[in-house]
Amino acid sequence: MKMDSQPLDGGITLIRLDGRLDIEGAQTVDQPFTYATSTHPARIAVDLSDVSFVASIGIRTLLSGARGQASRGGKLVLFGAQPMVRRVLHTAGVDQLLVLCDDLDAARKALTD
Amino acid sequence: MHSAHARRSLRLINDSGAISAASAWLRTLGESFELGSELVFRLDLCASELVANIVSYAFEDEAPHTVALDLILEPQSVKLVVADDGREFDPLALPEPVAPATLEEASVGGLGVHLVRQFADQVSYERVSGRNQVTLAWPRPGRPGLAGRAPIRRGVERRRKPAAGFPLACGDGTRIDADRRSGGDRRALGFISRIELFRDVPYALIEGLLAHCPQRDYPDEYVVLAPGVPNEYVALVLDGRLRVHLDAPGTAGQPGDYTPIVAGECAGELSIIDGEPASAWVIAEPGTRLLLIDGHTFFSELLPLPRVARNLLGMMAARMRRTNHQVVERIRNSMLLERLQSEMRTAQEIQTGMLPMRSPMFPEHMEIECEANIQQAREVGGDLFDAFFIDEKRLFVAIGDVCGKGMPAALLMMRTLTTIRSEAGRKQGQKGHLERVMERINRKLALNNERMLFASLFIGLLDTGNGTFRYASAGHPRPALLRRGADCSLLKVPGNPIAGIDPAISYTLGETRLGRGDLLLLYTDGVTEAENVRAEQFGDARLLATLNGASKGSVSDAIAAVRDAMRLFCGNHPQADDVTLLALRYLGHG
Repeated sequence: MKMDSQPLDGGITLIRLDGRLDIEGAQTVDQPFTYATSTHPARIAVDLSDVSFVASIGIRTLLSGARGQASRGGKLVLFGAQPMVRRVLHTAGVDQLLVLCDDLDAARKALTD
Repeated sequence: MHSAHARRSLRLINDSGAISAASAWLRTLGESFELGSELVFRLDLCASELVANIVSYAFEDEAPHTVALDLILEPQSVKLVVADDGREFDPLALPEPVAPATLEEASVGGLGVHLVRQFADQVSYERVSGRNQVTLAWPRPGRPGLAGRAPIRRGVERRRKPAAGFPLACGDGTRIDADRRSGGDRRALGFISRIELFRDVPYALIEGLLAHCPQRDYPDEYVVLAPGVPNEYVALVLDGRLRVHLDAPGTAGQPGDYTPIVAGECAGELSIIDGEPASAWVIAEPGTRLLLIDGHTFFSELLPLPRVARNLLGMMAARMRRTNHQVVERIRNSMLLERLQSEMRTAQEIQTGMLPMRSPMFPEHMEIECEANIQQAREVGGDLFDAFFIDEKRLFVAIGDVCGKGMPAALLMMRTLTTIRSEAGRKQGQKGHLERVMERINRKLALNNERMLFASLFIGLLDTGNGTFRYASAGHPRPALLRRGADCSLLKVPGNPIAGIDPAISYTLGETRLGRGDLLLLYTDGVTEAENVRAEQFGDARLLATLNGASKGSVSDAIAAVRDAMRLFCGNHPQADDVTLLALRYLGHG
């Protein structure tokens, strides 16, 4: 599991996750992801297009980041999830708590609304 | 590689590395067996969640335990079996997590199991000899003939349909405005895996549906359905038991005359299907809890699921077989009873037919007067009597009483009678003839006497030439002797035990000489032991007194007098035993 982040124009931070959000993946990215999403208020778009797998432990990671950002007064949206990943997020009810966008443009729009 | 049948096993130690190991193993197998990325994803997800649960929660000790995974490939299906020997945990019994309204409330507890239930096509749980065993199954993709069926998607897509929202209209016209079920109610949905109707039905398809069906507890012996009453629900038995009675319970039929419907089975589906009122009594036993599915939900939501329809047909076929069996059994029993009754009537006819029921018995023998009469207490009884000439001048008489009632006694009575006839006719006139008759009868009864049936018997041989009467008794009541011009008394009889106990008894004879006009009355204990309402017995004294009063009349008058006296004494008190009387008067020649 790899993670990198880069600032985009409009005060948006793009976080890219790459790999499997399983137990190992979650353990690998938990710290950097929490740091990137919860230390200061921001508008964060998380790119899931290279995430091939997600389990409940990975959902925990995503939700804790979103919760941290919400408590800072910022916002976190997800975009680009592959169909099966999207289905897991949907089944887990994540789509009712977070905005799930199709692509970066939609994510950008959701963050600036 | 695309083997039709294959089985692969993986055994892991319950540490956190097990989760990744299981997942890597499944991905490798998925690739080599060409299971397709979607199914591999599902296998991977379900295994990860189940193994994670086992590693985190199944064991309280620190010792290493084995987690077993088995992937079973069949032509039409892919199965994953995950087993552990940790504490009992049925993932199907866990309530569906309530979707959090806000991010702050969100927790991911129970999410893993929820994902498993939604991403496996079928989930079943078994606790087998201390082990948890969860079996997940999917249709096997990409097999010839199955292309384009893509059944895997169905569960999830149906699931996407919003679950019925509140308010809900109930079958009885009322409305449910909110979900008021307690946690216990929700947990009870775990029974889905045990309900026959939902066997092999994807959990995801019915969980939401059933969550909105009411569950009800019933008071003991509550009448859930009665014949003629319209029925609006299919009732699934979650706990306890229902009894289906064809006859009104407690009024007719035997206690065992019902069909039980146990937990996991359902009732009321017939009247929901044909719209007719219920056809039988359905009674709830103590502790019965039912899940009620209204007719609309049953028809438009459940029956369209192919597996549900198939299960329902299977259940109805099984029940029909069972009911058929019951009906056949009933008919068989009533036919059996009828045949038995007819056999009893035949037995009675045969039995009565064996006795010499003519009157007078020997009209051609002017030297004697002989009359006999039997009154049977039941259809078949144990009393017997006989009288016949073994040569021109010697009359053989016998009276007996076989202990016991019913068919065994009747058969023994017939056997005794047959033996008497065959033995009495053999080697007559020789010395020791009468003793030998008695001894042979006794031996025949005593051997082959598994049922321990005994007979009292009195036999005698009257020489009509000179009035000599020789006789033997096997525990039989002493005959009454009414000599002309004297008071009636009991005949002196050498005491011998009852027949049928000891095969080696020697019988001692008695002998007397009858004078002209002397009357001998043989009888069974049904006479002297006849009871009145105060449980007093008719007794010897009354018998002798009665005979004294009848000394002037014919032998039939004597028998009639005894019968009248008994009737007077007993009144309407029903008699338990056969009553047999045989009267013999010696008149002599010339």
